[in-house]
Amino acid sequence: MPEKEGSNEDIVLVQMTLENPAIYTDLVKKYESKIINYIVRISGVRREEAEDIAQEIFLKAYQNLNAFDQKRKFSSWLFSIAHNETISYWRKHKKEMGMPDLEDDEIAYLLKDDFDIKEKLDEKALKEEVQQAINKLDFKYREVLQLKYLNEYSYEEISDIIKKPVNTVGTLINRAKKQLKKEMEGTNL
Amino acid sequence: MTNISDKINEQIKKNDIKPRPKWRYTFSEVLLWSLLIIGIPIIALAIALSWEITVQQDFRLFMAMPGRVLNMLRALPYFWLILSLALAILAFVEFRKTKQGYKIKWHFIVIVILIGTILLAALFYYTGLTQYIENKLEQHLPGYHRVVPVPHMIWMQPDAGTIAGIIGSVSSDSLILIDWNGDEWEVMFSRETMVPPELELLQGGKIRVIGERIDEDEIEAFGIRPWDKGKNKPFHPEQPNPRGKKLNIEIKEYQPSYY
Repeated sequence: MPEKEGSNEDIVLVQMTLENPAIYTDLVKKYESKIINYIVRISGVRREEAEDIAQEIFLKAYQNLNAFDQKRKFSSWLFSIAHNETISYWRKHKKEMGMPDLEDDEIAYLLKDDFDIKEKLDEKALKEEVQQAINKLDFKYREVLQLKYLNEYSYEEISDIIKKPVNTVGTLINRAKKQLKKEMEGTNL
Repeated sequence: MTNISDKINEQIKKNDIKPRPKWRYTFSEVLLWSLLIIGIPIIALAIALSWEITVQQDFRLFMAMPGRVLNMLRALPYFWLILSLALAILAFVEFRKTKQGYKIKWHFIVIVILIGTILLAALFYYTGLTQYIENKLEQHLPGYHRVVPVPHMIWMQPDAGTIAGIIGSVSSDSLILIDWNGDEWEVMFSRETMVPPELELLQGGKIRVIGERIDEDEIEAFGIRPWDKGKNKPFHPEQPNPRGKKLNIEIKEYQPSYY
């Protein structure tokens, strides 16, 4: 379930895209579902909206392909664009946003270190409670939890994506976990 | 299964979208760093000019004047103060936009900008560069005095008891002062007049006077101080006055606390 992307293959694809734009389709195909899931999970937009945002992200990435520093991971760079676009969409529409939708196994994975809940997650009511707790988290906390535990990015990669110092990323993750724990104290977990 | 790759491919073809050329990013990066490299000395200069003007105003003497708070507020170099603050904020924002900028904690950037500019400002101030630039701006930049309360103008309020200019001639109990507008004033002084020991009242010397207007063109001086502060700096050496004539009076030790 956690997503991990290759790096060298991406760099080759980027170089080829710069010579032949049709190759870009391969990069889009590789990342589209990951980007859409990221948008849905952190912002709570509907899937159709997320697809529109993802299109903008991929077009922006294509236009700025020459700005991609090949010493970095392409996925981090792409997710940093996704971060900016999602945050700006979320700021404009946050009042209309729904609840971020996580799968059962994703919730279990997210909480595996702090809660003994995996076996209980088949209970529908419990899943809703966890969903609600996650939904109550600030946007920035939801995002770092997503990037750290579901995308399995390192602190350095998250730092590149959200454009914050590595130490701040660590602080954000700790705070996110604490806030999630606090939100869940009222539940039966 | 979502498939947006075809839609994107279609958009790229239809609108003939192309990746922006690499030179644009290189140019932006070079421009950004150049602005930062140039910006820091400019901020330092703005800070140094703020300090220079504040010192030149001689706020200790302001304390002896009526309406001193208002006068002091009027005399502050807001233009340079605001400019230095605005440039510092801009430098901070622009630095964060550099490739590595976000990796450094914001308060570390603020401290570096602050210490760097203050050290540079101190260097500018103590070498006399700011005084030199301030004088040049005052002399050659039309309208400068409208945005910056230049000490020349602030010290031209005879009704409030302040006047400054160049000594035209000196006698035992008075001197002729040609103010910055070119008007002549007779400045009366006595043994009671406060004059700092290092000040020699010489023809051609620049001074500031605080006292009381006693006639249309006469001022009775309570204190006389040199106009220029911070002489003998590399960029602002003391100007000898070959025509100077030493005043033949006993100079009393200057005690600003007297006011």
